[in-house]
Amino acid sequence: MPVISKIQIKNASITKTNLFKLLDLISQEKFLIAPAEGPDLEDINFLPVTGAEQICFDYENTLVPPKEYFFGQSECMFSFSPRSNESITVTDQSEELVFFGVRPCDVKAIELLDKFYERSFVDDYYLSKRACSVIISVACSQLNEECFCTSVGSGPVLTEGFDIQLIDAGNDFAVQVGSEKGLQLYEQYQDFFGAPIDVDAEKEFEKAKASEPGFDLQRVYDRLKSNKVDDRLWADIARRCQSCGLCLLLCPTCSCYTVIDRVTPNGRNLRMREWDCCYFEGFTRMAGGQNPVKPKEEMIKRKYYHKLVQQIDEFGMSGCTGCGRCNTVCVGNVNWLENIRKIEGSGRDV
Amino acid sequence: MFNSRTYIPRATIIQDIEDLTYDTRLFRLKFKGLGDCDNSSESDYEPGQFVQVSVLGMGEAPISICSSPKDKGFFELCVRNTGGVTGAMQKLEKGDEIGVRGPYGNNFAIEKATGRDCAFIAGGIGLAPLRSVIKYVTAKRADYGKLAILYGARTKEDIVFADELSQWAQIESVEVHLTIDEPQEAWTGRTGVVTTLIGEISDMSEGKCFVCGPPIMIHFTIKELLDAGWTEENIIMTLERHMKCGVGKCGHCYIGDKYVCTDGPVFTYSQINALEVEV
Amino acid sequence: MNLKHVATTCPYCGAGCGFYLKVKEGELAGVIPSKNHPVSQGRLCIKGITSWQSVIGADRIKKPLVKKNGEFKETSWDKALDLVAEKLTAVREKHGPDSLGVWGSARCTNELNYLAQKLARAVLGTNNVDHCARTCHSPTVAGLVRSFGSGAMTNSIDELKDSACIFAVGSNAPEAHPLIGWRIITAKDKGARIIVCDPRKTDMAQYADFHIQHYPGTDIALLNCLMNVIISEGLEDKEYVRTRTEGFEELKKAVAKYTPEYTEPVVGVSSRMLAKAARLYATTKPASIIYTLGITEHTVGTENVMSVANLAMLTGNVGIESGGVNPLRGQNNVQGACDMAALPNVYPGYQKVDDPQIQQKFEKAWDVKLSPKPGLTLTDQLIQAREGNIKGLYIIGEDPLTSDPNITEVRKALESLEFLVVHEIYMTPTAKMADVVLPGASFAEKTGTFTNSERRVQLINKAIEPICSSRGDWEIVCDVATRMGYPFEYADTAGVMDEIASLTPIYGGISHDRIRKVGLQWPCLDKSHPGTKYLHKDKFSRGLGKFHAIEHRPPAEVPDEQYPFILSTGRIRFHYNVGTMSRRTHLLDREHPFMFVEVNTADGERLSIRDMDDCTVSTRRGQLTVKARVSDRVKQGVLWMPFHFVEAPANLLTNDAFCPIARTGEYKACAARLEKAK
Repeated sequence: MPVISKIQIKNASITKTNLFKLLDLISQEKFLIAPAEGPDLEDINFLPVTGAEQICFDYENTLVPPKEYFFGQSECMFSFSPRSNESITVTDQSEELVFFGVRPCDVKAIELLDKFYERSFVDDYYLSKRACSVIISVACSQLNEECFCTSVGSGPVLTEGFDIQLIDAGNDFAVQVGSEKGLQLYEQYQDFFGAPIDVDAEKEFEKAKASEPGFDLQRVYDRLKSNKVDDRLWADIARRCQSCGLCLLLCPTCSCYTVIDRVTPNGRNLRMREWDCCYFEGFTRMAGGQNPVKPKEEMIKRKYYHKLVQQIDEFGMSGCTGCGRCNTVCVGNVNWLENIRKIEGSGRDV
Repeated sequence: MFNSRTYIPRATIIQDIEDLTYDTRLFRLKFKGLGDCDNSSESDYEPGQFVQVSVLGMGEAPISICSSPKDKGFFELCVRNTGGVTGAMQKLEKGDEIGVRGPYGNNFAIEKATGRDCAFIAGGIGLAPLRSVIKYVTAKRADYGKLAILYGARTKEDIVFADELSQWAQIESVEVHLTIDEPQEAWTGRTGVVTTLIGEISDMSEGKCFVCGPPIMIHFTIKELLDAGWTEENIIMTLERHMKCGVGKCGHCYIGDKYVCTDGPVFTYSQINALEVEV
Repeated sequence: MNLKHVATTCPYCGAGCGFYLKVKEGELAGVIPSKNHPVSQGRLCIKGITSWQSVIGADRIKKPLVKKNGEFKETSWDKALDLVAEKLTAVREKHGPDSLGVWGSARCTNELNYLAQKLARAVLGTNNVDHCARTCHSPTVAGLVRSFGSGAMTNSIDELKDSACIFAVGSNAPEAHPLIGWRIITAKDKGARIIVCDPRKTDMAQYADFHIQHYPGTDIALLNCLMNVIISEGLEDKEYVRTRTEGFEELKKAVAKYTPEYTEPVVGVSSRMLAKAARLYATTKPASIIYTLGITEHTVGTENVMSVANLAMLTGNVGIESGGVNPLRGQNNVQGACDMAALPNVYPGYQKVDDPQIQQKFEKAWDVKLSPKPGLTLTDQLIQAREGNIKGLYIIGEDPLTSDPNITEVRKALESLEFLVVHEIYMTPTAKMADVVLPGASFAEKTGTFTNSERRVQLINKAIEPICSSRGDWEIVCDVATRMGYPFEYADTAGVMDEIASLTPIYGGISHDRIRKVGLQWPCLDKSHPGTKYLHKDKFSRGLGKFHAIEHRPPAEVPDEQYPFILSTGRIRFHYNVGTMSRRTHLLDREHPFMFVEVNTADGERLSIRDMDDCTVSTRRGQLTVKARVSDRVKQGVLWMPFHFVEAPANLLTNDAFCPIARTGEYKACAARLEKAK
């Protein structure tokens, strides 16, 4: 089953009161994942909710991207008994999930991951979870401090690639249905929705773009591709990087993982896959101890190149969706946006 | 494909184990039962491809297939103990089970060598992946020009496939040259690193040269070959990288804009140069 | 979808980052950083983000173990606890209460440490209670109490980013305390000047405007020299010195001889750089001093700390925002374990055991006669065990057989005991020597509080059920006490905290409910007290700040012909202390899987040792063969080793010479020999 099959966009609307009622109903009938406040520290993250009152409607974005529901920080691929391949029991991936409140940048990121996991060998784990999920995304009505989605074409409002998109229009949300899965959900709960209302997504987009310290992605691509970036930039990032890995682990488009066989304390044997990242030296070190990607500068260059050149070449979309999480989490104050702008300008001062 | 689901290994039975050296063993594997994919009648791998070997409880490791697709009913893996999965494999016995996924990666594109001279330069365990292609071309001897095999091992105890090396030397127009790094008692052959043998193939520089071995050996071999007039296009080598999935997903082997597991592991030297990889 | 987030506090260093444990189907499945947490603010280091992996190793201790004929046999909790109570009682009856010792743990909660010292004092009847702060920051407590009247980090972590000058001595924060390192990088980005004094070119040193690469064990000479320059150039804060401090004249006299020219050969740093650094520190305000074990782990540890305090007071930098003297605590709850009086000379909140009024207060509260005699430090407990005077030890969550200096002697001490009981989560070398091993629950499996380096009392919450049949260590201690005839009856750890608050003025206003969101920084005197961001504002805890006149003394062991190198030890980014948890975390162990010694390039050349060669490091106490990492990170004549590798424990080599005041070992400097391995 294809992860997402686009349809011609169908327009509708929903009042805020109805949206609340709708989500309340979905949370009882299905598994609903939505932005919700965590215990004690009260951070907003995507969590299973069992009632609309648990949902946080007033949030910028979550620190952990929704990718964790399709490609988890740690997930069991299968369990087994030692030495017997026939004992392999593959983890069930068939739980149906409805997501509410995913931001456009993260919808874009998921679209990129879909393409990545579908190409050449298919990744059953990711794709089966994607296949049984449907996402109601909510367009951003303002740009947040760390974001720069407009420069990479992933927000604040999407023109395609979503299941259902909501755009705030005061008392109501404009509703756009963009995929088969979205349509199914829409039809199931049709009574909650009303007639289309007028919002100009294109205009919103242009308005946002004007207000943002953006960059020209094409120029950034050219600079990187032609290797015209001042090496001092890589050296500065390398000096700042403290190897925590968070900028990659929490990147909505990063997909690297490691595989380990884990015996739990109570004796179960599991083959796990867990988030891994290319800023760890052990990521590329080989059994004999040699490491083909040694200096930190090389690792960093590889990341910028991968996201801003290779993924554009391969998937026709930027590997950075402008969510800004990597800036938020850096203990070395590496600012990805600032660095991209330095790359963009790098030809100019020479 | 040997396995039907991307990440789920398929069971094979160890038919035979041969100790090639003190730390290297040759495993002959046969699929357990007949599944929806099987190489018992028709081999579905190419020389240069690898499998992800899975020892449940220890994890997985990429290993080149070292038998030839012309071998029917089984395939072979040559495994040196470097700890982890390969260490666990040293403890396995005939009749035990190993999981495999694959075959993965590209191949030596041996069809491009048809009608031409072929040189094979191997260091240490690097002979294993080349063995697959050597067996393949010697089985179709008439399709190729002159063949030469240059092999260097650290000591005489480290030489793998010694019997086969002498068998290959018996075949018409196949030259085999051996060397070990340092002089050793009861060794009457040549000494010195494998690059010292490159003079033996100076007349073949219009042909294809397949190079496989540890990074340092590859580094110097390529230098010598280029000096001896081989073109970058005709030097074919394998890249070794840390990898977890074998299917272009885990990211460990990503380099330049390629995944070694799916775009490689075989590259021409001109491709390597374009990737800006140091070898 | 059975998934929840449980807020908790990181179990590694003393920065005390907050995060959520992700729990899926009742099992740990990851760590979610927290933007709202005041220390971590959305960030974490590699140890924090992987911390969930550290407690789910296959080899968690699964059941209570009792040693019979040299072998451990699994047994029931009832039998194990009965045996512990019976043996402790027997030792006490045969040899008296002071033949017993209890070790709390800087890795465990405040509640556990409170109960452990109560077990020692109220149940066993001895003040022989201590914990591993003895091996790290005891000189901080001893020294800062003498100088300021209170032995803790004076300021808050987040204030560091607004310091105009950061003076780091013997601290490699980016590696050892990454979230404090972040503040230093931020301060630098905002224009702060950074002075780093460290014998190694640490990660910290690369951010320095001045890197003073002095010899290990010459900190007093260095600090006295800086003060000499400040005083002789009249750069001291005269008003502050006059109104807030005492003992200035004595200090002035003591530092008079430490001119830059005199000091240069002692510390191995040019006199020009010393003078420049002194001027920079004295003239850039607010200036914050941070230090770690490079200061404390010396035979002059306490005096080192007092010298640091001297420098800060001299320039008027104590009691102001973004200034202060800031010891960065190495362990998640080393501050709390001290606060809770897992210490031989005080009751919780640093109330002296030999003060009759205090004694009376605790006798009344605990309804038992208490000993007024200060107990033995763990250093002295081990010495007395070898002498035959300590017969039984109750060790909770510590591994002295890896972590204490000269472990050959530690082994002898443990072998001399009649009875050893250990709480652990994994089988450590120390646990292997025990008569009874009790499986404790990890940070993810229990509720309680940790107090971080900036005195912030924070919650850890139970995220998963205790693994196998392990139990929270506070419950274990309660059961032992109860079996010994003194019932410890608490419904939960919140109840324990209420008792702590009732007896400990600095924790007076703390309760689990109050600290749920972001914790509270002590002193927090009552339920309405907002906590204290920085100490000694307007007035020192002891009234006036006291200058101490201190002379430089070299380490107990200095290089000679036979052992020509100075060996120092420390922490690397990817591992934590004895490695019990970090070595079991696959991503961490992959980053750094092996022990090594750092060697200077010139020394390497001279001895034909190349990078990654095997080489042998020996001292008068032992030898280790490890990989050489040859670089210019260490000075010529200096060697440096991490201490995380149980298969090659650096403490086989370190010197069990101790600071006479704080009884902390000299981990940071001993004489050693280096050879290429045969």
